[in-house]
Amino acid sequence: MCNHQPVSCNTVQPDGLTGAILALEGIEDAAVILHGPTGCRGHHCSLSERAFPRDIPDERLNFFEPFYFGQPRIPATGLDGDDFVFGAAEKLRKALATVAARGPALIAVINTPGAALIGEDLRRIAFDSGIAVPVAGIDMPALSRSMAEGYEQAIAAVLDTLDLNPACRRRPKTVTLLGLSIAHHHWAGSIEEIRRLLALSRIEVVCAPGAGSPVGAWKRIPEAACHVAVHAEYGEQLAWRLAERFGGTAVVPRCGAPFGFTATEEWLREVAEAAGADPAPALAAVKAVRRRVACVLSRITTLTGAPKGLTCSIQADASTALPLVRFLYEYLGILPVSVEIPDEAQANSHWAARLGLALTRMGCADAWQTPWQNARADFLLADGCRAVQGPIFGIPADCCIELVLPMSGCVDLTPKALLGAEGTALLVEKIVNAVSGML
Amino acid sequence: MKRIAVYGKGGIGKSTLSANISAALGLVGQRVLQVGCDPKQDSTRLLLGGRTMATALDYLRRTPPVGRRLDAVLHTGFAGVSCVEAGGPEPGVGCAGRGILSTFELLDQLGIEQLDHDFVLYDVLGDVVCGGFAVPLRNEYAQVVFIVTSGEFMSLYAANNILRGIRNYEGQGPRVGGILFNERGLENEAGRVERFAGAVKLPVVGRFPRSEYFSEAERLGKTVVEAFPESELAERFRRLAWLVAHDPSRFSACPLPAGELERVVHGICRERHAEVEAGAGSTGSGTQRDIASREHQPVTTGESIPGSPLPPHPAGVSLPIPPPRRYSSKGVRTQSVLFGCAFNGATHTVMQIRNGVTLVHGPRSCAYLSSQGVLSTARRMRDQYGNRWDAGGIPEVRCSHMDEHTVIFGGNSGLEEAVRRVASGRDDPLFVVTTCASGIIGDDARLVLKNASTGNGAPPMVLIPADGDITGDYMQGVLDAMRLVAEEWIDPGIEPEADAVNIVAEKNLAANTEENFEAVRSLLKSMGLRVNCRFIRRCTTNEIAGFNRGSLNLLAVDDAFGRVVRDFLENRHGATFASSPFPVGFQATSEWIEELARHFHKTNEAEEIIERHRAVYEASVAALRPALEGKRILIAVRNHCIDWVLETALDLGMVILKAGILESAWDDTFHSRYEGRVPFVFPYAREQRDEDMRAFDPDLTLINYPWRNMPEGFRFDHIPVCPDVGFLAGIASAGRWLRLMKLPAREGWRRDV
Ligand code: SF4
Repeated sequence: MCNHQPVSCNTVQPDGLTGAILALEGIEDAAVILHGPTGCRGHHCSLSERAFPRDIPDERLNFFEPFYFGQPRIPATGLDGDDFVFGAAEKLRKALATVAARGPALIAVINTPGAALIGEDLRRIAFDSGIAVPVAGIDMPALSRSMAEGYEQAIAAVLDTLDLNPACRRRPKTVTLLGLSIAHHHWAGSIEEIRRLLALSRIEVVCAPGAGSPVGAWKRIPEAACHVAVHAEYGEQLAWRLAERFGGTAVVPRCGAPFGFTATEEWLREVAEAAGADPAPALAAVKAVRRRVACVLSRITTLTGAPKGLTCSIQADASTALPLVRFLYEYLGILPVSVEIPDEAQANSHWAARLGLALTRMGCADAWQTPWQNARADFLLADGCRAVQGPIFGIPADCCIELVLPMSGCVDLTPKALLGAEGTALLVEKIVNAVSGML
Repeated sequence: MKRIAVYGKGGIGKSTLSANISAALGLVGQRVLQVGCDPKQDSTRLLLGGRTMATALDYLRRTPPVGRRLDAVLHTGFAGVSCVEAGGPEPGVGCAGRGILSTFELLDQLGIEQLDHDFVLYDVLGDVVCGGFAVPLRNEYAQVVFIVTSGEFMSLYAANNILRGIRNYEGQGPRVGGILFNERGLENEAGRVERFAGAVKLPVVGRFPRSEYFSEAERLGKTVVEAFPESELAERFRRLAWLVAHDPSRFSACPLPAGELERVVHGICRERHAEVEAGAGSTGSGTQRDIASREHQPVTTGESIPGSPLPPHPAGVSLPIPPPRRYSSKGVRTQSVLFGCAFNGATHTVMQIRNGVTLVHGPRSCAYLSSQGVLSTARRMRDQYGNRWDAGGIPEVRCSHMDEHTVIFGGNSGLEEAVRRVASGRDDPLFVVTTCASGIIGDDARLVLKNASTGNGAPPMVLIPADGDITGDYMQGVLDAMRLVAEEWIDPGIEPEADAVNIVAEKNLAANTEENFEAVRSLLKSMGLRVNCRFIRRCTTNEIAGFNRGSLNLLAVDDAFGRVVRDFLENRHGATFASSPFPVGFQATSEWIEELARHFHKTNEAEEIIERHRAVYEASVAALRPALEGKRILIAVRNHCIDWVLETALDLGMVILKAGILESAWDDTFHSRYEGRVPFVFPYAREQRDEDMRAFDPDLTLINYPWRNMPEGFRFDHIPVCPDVGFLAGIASAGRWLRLMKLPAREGWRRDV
């Protein structure tokens, strides 16, 4: 039968449309309508449903259910060829009414590429439909640009729609967490972990836009003393924007996202300093986890020394890859052999420059942008799409660790984090468990 | 056939001019088709006695593909001129340009080509030369383009813009026939037009003074040619028609650069700007000499143009109505909500061709969504069935990365670059699939591929013009991709081989497709048969080329989709099919094997296989029967073939209270060998289910998926929408029913929902 079988890998990255959809799906009590064909919808529905399970469909895959078609999230207006010619305001009006009847605190309408082209006037249609719920609109999503850009665009659109009160009094030791999205694996656990650590230092998280916070929490954003970018690619611009609009301090920790113990400690220090709080209690909690992990590692490494000496490939945004590379290299002794930034457009960012420098200092400059499929590393830390393909390229499934858009199909009922001290412990746990399977 | 486009600013009189040219051509016996490409939809009014006609786009909206007829949008007007109006949206909504594209596609599908017109005249709004309105500029459409203008600045501005549009489509040589000057009676008007014409190196091939004849003819709902044939104005139209008919000279489009138009029109600068590309003169049937001699001496219809008279009018012009040629999915055929997009269906299909690479012409989101579909299915296959990853890996998908800029300024060059990048250094085929965005802006992907594939060593390139969901739903995309691939590759000269079968129309996104294929392959192997080609799944273009080696074709699923694929392969490629699809259940599998045995003369082998499985089946029934006999079941599913369930249930002595068959997005027929023996309800209403459960109080209800607020305290089991094939499909389910009978009807967690 088939003898022509070059091993190929699927490398297509999501773009700003996915970033925007997931950012808005990350508002707990909001509803997102896709104004466009159902073709853009299916995968986004399952991503949202898996990442942030909330609703149960009336009947799964009941294609006759208007706009939802048997999936619980992200109804679509279902534009077809005629609608592209004649417009589809009526369909959108009906969809708005159907969705509004479910009582969301906010509706966000996103034009799909086709609807964006025919210039559907989302705001006018929403206004004409007379629904009482505030409606945010994304007229032209960030097509073929990074997921992070789409996320920023969507969060900004909601901020504009909610018309938050800039005169609101800022409260000391309060922060917003920006740049976390439900696309990030274990986002809910990560938020809880950061909340926990900050709370130990008496810092309150008032809102994590796009990462589970309901509209009520968004309304508290002007109270925040600091606007902290967790994932810089997603949150840096927003932090500056919020600081400019509502006052307060924009904080973009130099260590990148709090992956690994050292970065977590640095991150906590920087945020605490900006918020005028004492980082010591949070650092003490990190230390406790450090001890727990070290105790396990000292036992496990006795026989072979592993995981020291193993290799890894990382495919992630630079502000994620930087702390991860440092952690794996410095803390566990795992050598980076491939470090890739998924979005070419970000390859020139200052984060990418710092990542390149870090690799050079480690003597691993060759790893920079080496395709992971060619590197044959022991571990792969990447988005779900690449992680599930790891086994095709000789990396066992256990050694493929998902960072964003998980695809493995695993269900997590107990909260897990990837960020902070507990997130670091989970990372070590995954690595050592995989190592024990390898030896 | 000669194809002419007349472009001009809205309201400039291009429709009046076009209708008069058509009328003049019609009067001398030419068979003319005039296509109005203006949402104003009045292009052909004067040819139709002042009547307006149903537009192609309205018709397209109202009529499902199967019922579409050319004569519903094609009307015969004065002098036998065939008239079509594209129509379009209300101002300010939708995309009129996309409407032009859809109209052209409709006319192509309905076989307008076969009507044998001598002339096709496209009357096109030229205010905005977006991708859609530029469709008549494409090579397969207008060979010559005339531009209508008055001396008003905005009209000349539009004319210049039209020239800029034409320049983008001049790959095959010059195509501008000249300027048609429709006077408004303004001061110095002729001077302005002549200066403009000189600057853009075009002749004024027709000049039409303001005249009462126009308004009077308009009032009568006629062309001047019809209403006032003796007038000098009518004579001008006849002269222009003569020019049009006699292969007019063609000139290159040399638009003026921004900023220069105003100076030229107002006579401030008469010199041609240096920006006009070197060598952009005429190279077509109008020679360099023509241009040189005409450059500043515009030709007008006031001149006497010599030549022979036009051929006489043929007696009677009757227009045959060709049948539609489309193989449609159920969604498209019934004009229901489109599930998924044709782009995804097409992409998932060509991604199955192992030696090919798929290039998505659209935004990255489309490529991402498509590849995720394949990847998630592969992941589910691995998790549910333990299928290892396909050894070839996950098929590669590339993308032309359309962004906001591209969708505004056109994606042809981006596609060209992407094709060059992907095709470079490879021999294997390239499949280009178009998305909503490229479909709406009207990129000419066909031309891009044609140009790219002319070079030496270029790999085969196939365009799948899915245009997102503009051409239809997911299944339509699958069908179109299959059809295009078949037409491109299947070699009709190959002879069937005695032991070879093809597998057709497997569901590429079902998790059990490989499992089912392996089950079928194993049965075939036991009969000494082999699979020649899986059409289209995990195959190569070589295997598709050798499709005809398969002497019998085995349809995977007999649903609306499978049947259309079968019809297409039977009609177009003479394929012979087994009478039933992949078999599910004992009797279906036995009959299927017997049919294969008859075809391939393998009766002994077939008997042996059936007997072997009969023993297992009967033993299983005997083991299950004591516990299940007499149990009462209610069925409420969207599967349109459930004989395998019924067979097992009846063999086990279970009582079927009712078999409700819900409507399905994938099929619209229902048949069963148990009709008369089982109380079927088709179509069965969703709303009826709760009532029936309460009324019948069944021991077990068979459903596909539970629904919100379904009655509590009833046992139910899931029937897969895509069941596993083979003798024991029903037995596997019955084994589960037995276990369910022993378990509490409602698990504890359900109380917490
Ligand atoms: S082709 Fe259209 S419907 Fe399909 S994924 Fe792309 S934008 Fe969505």
